[in-house]
Amino acid sequence: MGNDKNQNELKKVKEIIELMIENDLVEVEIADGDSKIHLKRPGHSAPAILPAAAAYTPAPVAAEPTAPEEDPNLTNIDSPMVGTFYSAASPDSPAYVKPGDSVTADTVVCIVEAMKVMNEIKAEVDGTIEKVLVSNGQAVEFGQTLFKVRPL
Amino acid sequence: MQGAKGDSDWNRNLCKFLDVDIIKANLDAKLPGRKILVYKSTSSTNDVAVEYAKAGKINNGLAVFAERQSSGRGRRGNKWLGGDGKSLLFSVLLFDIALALEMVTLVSAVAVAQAIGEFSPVRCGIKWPNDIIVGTKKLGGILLESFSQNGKGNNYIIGVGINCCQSQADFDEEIAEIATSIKIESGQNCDRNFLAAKLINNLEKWLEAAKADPQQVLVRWQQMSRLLGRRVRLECDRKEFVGICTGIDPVEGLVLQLERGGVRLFNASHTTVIAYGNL
Repeated sequence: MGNDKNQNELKKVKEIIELMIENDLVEVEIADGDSKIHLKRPGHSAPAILPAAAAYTPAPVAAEPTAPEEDPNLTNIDSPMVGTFYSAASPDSPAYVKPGDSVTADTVVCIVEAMKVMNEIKAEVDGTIEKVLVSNGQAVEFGQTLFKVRPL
Repeated sequence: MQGAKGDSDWNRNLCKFLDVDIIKANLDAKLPGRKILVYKSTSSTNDVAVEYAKAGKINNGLAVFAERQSSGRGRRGNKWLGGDGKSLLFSVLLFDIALALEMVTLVSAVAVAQAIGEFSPVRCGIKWPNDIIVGTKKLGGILLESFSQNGKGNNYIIGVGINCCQSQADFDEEIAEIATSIKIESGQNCDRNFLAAKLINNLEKWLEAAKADPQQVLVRWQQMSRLLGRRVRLECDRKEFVGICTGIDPVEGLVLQLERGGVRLFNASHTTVIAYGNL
């Protein structure tokens, strides 16, 4: 019996550790009746006690994928509408464009489907595709940047 | 202009835009229109269908519509005007149709001409080989493309373009001489969604009819053909000919009693009708 209890405790601790890692928590204290579990993760020189609310602020983030300093010469191709992004004319066609491709203002670069209407999106700029920021089938927002283009 | 059909609801619930749901709700056809895509704008609906054809029979029956076409094609690469939401422009992708190209051309022309007549008060005819006309003006056209896949032929993309909601002012002066629309002919706008469904339903009906008895398609086509007995000017191998059309065979071609004497058969694949009627 005692063994079972220990097993359960162990399992609980493991779960909490996973939760901590998942949420990037440094310290957790759980009191449940008589038992009390206090866990602290190493490696973080975080304040010993975090106010509960602060735990949710995405920690003074080193984690944020620091946008590699934005190249000011690049132009965006933004989605003109809310919808679903398609990279190719049909599911079995090659993508309209990939990084490195030259485009003119009239080149169709993708389709955004909105309200069951397929909208071909044109580059609206002459240049070279630098980056494709969305993946096939992804939902996109109005104004969301779909491509980065290096203008001619 | 002709009077509107009293009992018809062809222009009721006028919807300005193509709507997948409305088209689907009015479809009886099983295969064509099984999948429907509507494009705001595209180069040509036939081109889109070609892309979808690559996946094979999974896209059998696909119908691609566009509000606008930037490079819609007609026969021999003639540019087909695709005006801003006023035309009905679509292509249907069909695999393994056990019919020859010529027969599918006839079927398409008959299906389209008849659908327009049933849908609206406009009575149109067929100008050999694949134009839809009212009087001497063009109302629409059909562009058929065939392709083989995995060694199998008899796969088709049927492209249809119909002028629906254009007023006279929508056509350039030059075009206005030779083109018309359902609106111009009937005096009323039409809801392209209902016409689209009707066309696709009719297409399936006539494809089935052709498989069962090709003769009935030929008969109907002859009835709707508008060249017989008319004075026709045509171009064949870059030479012009004028004569009275005394025979017409959708596959073999056109027989003219030439004005300069003699009777000649003009093969379909080398001939373009330049003008007919009051030359």
